[in-house]
Amino acid sequence: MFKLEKTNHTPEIIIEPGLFKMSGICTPENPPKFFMQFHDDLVNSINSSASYELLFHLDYFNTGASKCLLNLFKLINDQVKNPQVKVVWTYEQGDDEMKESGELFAEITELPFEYSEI
Amino acid sequence: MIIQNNQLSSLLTKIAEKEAVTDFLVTLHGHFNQDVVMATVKLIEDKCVELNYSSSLTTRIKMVSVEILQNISKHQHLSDEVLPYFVMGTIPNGVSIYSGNMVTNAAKNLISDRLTVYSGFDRDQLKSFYRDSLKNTHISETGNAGIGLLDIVYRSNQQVEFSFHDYNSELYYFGLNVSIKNNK
Repeated sequence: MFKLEKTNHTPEIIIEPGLFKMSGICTPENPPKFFMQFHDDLVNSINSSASYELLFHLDYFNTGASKCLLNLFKLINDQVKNPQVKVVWTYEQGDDEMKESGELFAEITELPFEYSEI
Repeated sequence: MIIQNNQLSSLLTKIAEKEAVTDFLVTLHGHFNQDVVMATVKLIEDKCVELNYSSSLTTRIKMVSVEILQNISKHQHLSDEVLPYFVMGTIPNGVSIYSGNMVTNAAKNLISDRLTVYSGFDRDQLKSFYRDSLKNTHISETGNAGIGLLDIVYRSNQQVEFSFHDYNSELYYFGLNVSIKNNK
């Protein structure tokens, strides 16, 4: 299992068999550097699991993180050989802005997205 | 207007007169860093809860605010004589953000060109351009995706005004006003 504790500007990251979870605020000053910390572990975890769920519950994020999230989705779509991968995009009740952000990622990538209001 | 380091109160008076701001939620003037940015967004979030703003409006306000604040934080080193500011006040159905910071001549031209293009789009064109830009832009090693201004315009539903004031032969003071209302 891989885990990064959340800070006041970066989300908690959990990687375990079958599950990747990102939750919290995602506004690192250097988003590529932050995302590189778990990149390899995530790819290895997906490729070694029969099915995989990527669970996101983000409070808010900056544009650098937005681009890194998109790159992450593209990488999974293009390079990961596990066909049983899905993204679960969760958001606070009534938060259409966050839901639309997830829908935009889904439009650009070809990954299956599920939306969950909590 | 350029805000010298003892003129924040006059700025607040001008904003209140111009836009009928009923309450100032945040006023910052000075040096910005990541801790200041995050503490400010947390304060903004708490104020949005107090005001019973919807979660959707609150998210838009936080995302626009962090983009403006982090941008100021990255580029504030251009002058120690005139420091940046960030002010947020309530207006009917939302908030209005005023910020000011020094930029170079090259940045002035880039900002002006981009904001002029973005303001000419209708809503569908803007959404399409935003999606294509997010898809095609490259992020630098330092984390600059180059779509911060576009994100601000998109999430504010094009409620953006800007101005530049000459400071010296190389620097300009960039004034930005963004309104975020509950009617996207």
